[in-house]
Amino acid sequence: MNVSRLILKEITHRKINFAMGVVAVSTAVALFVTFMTSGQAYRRETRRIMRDMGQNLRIIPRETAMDEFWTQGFSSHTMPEEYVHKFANLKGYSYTHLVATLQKSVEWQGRTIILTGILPEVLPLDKRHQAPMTFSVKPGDAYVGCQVASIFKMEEGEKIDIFDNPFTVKKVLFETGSKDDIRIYGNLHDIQKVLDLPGQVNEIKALECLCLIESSDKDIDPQVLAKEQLAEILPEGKVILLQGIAKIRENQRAAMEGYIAFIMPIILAVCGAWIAVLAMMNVRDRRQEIGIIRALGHNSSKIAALFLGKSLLIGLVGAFIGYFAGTALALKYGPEIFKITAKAIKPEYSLMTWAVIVAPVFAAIASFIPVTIAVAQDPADTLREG
Amino acid sequence: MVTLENVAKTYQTRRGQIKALENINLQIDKGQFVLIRGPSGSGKTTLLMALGAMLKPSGGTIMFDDTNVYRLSVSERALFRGKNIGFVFQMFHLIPYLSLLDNVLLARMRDNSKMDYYDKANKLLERLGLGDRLFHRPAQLSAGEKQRAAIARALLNEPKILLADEPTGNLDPKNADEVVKHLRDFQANGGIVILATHGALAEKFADRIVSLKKGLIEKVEAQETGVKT
Repeated sequence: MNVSRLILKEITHRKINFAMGVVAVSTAVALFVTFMTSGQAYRRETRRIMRDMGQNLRIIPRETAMDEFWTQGFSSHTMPEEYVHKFANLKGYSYTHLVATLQKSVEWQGRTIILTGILPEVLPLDKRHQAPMTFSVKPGDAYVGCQVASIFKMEEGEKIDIFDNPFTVKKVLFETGSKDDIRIYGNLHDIQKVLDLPGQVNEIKALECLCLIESSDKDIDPQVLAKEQLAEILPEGKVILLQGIAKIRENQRAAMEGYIAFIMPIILAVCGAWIAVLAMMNVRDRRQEIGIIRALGHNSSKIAALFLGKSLLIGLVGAFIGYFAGTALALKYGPEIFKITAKAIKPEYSLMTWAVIVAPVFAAIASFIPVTIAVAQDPADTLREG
Repeated sequence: MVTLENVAKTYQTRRGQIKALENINLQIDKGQFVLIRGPSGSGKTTLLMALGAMLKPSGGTIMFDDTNVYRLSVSERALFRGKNIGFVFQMFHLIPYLSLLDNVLLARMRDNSKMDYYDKANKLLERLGLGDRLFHRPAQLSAGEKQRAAIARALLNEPKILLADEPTGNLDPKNADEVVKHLRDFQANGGIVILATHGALAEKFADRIVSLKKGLIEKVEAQETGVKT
């Protein structure tokens, strides 16, 4: 009688022991597959979002002192307004919003306010249908921050005069708890006139900007490339990349991977111990069987093959069940747990190969000590006990 | 021929050494039926295991013709055991999840032809009156049938020696007689039967009766049985 037939017969006889072993392996594989499937989806989605999101670029005048810029939130220098249109017509760049502003802190009626001129948002040709990200102010109108309105008791429809330029308060803005509360917004060209800075802006924001130019040197980050190229095209400007969101996503991903890296060894250890205990119980149950097989003249390798073969089979069956269960779990519950990756969760077929190879080896390793005990068992002892 | 010279076996326990066998000298010729008798703990099973190449003695030699079995490597000894020695135990030791036929075929060594042995196992079971039980599991058989199946398994490789440890201990007199009859058939075909018991079973068939007491041979009685080999 060959070993494989003996293993199959024993399995059908001790179904519960086999089933418990399969449950242990399936659990480990299923959890791993669930984590990996969701994790892969998360990584793929993050890459897609980051790619689609691109970078938020801030183009400011070259002479800007960055300490001053970060302190007051805008540059005290200016650059040509035509840069907006230059940028909009650039080939090799894509963006969703392009906003140009001219901001200056001024003393008005004994108070400090920030005059902010906004150029009506420039939308790319293919995205004309989308809603602008910021409001646009018509010539002659003013949008007033709530603090300014409160101090000067302004009301909507009221006529105001800013350095001999007449404006109508079109809107009093809600409190934002930021510098915006002390701003008076106007059309860019009106504010340029007020500040006597015709054709000048001090910031262009290109939101969700993508550099589509490819470098021959693949190691160069396209965003770095964009920065260098824009510096050539817009010589009076300099580019700041806002990487905050990308960093947050990167950190989230690292945190999730760290979590998986922490939890998986625990799951593997528990399942490994479970398989080892089951194998040990199996060896104990089969002491006399081992004895009689040895008495019949079969050597240690046959005994080892009986137990290791069973473990390999447990691993193989567990791998298949675990893979399908894990994939089903990921597909069913993944979208609820990882909302952002919902659509990206799909079966990872490569994990099946992994499971089919690694799980049986894992089960065999977990059974190693019980198998060693079985092989070392003295047949004379076990048969005497009988 | 089996020769035992100064065979001793000592077990090491936490409480010290236990001498299970001491100074055993015995020569058993082909075709002999030897009865090893003695109370529980006298060393019968230990002697049987030592004779079965399963328990290395602490001292002395056991020779099977010219082969000192304990000089062989573990795997060589296992092969020697499989080809030359058959075992029959009181508890039958049949594997519960195998059919009777598979239990017998379990004794087939790797280098033996599968088909030849399938036929051989069938014939053996037929001869032992189990022809209609080939595919029954041990749990579906009576004690007598189980023991006959165990004898069939022991005989599959046509061993030279049959070692039986209380083979009738769990059987009623009728089944016990039948088991003894099969052992005598084996002897009649030139095999050596060594049977350990604490009772008077098979006394009348034994060529020699070896009485053990506390691991020592108390006496050896030879008698004429009339069995010709």
